[in-house]
Amino acid sequence: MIIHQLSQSLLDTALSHTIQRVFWIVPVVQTVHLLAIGIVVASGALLGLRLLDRAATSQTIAATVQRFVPWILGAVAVLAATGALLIVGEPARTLGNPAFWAKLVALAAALALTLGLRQRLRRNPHALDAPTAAAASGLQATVHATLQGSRSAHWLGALSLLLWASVVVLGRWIAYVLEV
Amino acid sequence: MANIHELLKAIEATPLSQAILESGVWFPVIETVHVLALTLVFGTIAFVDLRLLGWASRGRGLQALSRELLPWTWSGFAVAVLSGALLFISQPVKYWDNLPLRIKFALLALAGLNMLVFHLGAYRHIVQQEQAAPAAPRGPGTLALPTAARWAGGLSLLFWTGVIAAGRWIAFAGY
Repeated sequence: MIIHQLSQSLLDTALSHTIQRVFWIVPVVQTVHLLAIGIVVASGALLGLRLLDRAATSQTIAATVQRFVPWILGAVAVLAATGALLIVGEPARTLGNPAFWAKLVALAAALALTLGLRQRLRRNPHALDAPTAAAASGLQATVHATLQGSRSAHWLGALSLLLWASVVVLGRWIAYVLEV
Repeated sequence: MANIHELLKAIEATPLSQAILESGVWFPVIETVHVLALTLVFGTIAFVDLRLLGWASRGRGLQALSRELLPWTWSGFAVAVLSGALLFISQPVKYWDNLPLRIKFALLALAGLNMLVFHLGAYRHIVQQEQAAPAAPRGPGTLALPTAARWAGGLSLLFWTGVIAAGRWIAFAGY
């Protein structure tokens, strides 16, 4: 009921009228949305694969996180702005759509994981590195010769890949899931 | 062009084509795979292009960056081509006459040509220079690239943005 009223009041705004009237606004905004998804997918994939030791293994995990997280955050900001325009133009299509809300939940989880990862590595850049032979034998592990990720790095990598892929999949299914 | 249309109609009559069109689930599923693949292609290429333009990854060599990203670009591209072909054969007659789709193919060809010219030309020189002096960036934390590389990066970004825009427009082209 609240969603229905919100949809109706969004529909009555001048911005919504413009988006509905000018035929090229929706495809152009969707294109910008897709380009930003490209940046998130590439960054998210590289980050996830790095945690899994499958890509970018010439850099430490901490360096890879530092390298890609700013791109993810910047692109998510673009996605939020373009996504908001698409909602205003056609509120019922999204706000009444379970795929959209599922996407937001997946997005929140993916962002939480990414930011949590960054915080943890800021406190200890080696938090997700596989233990070296020295560390394993109880010696002071000042030399981190290994670029391998730990077991929890692997799990986080797989989870991160899954969450970002879910965001994209659920986003595409907004167009196919009927509003309730 | 009559022959082409007969061919397209023959494709449309195949069980695979009919199955994708009529199931109601296969088209969205294949399209979702297509979107995942194409966003991976665009994103990884964009990082290389931004490096060529000198706007990102400036501390990394071009060869190192290419080796890190381009295998994923090509894997994504293969999946995009395959899923795109499946989407096409669901309604080949309709899509053949779709102007945005034709524009998309033209832009794909331009993007490919641009990449070919760059890889056969400036790229080789840059890699040779990087191998000769891997630890000697010519600017503050940056390996400056020649003008040809900047053009290649800028054109690539432009063409691929066009590919995505035209691709998105396929569904909007008056049906």
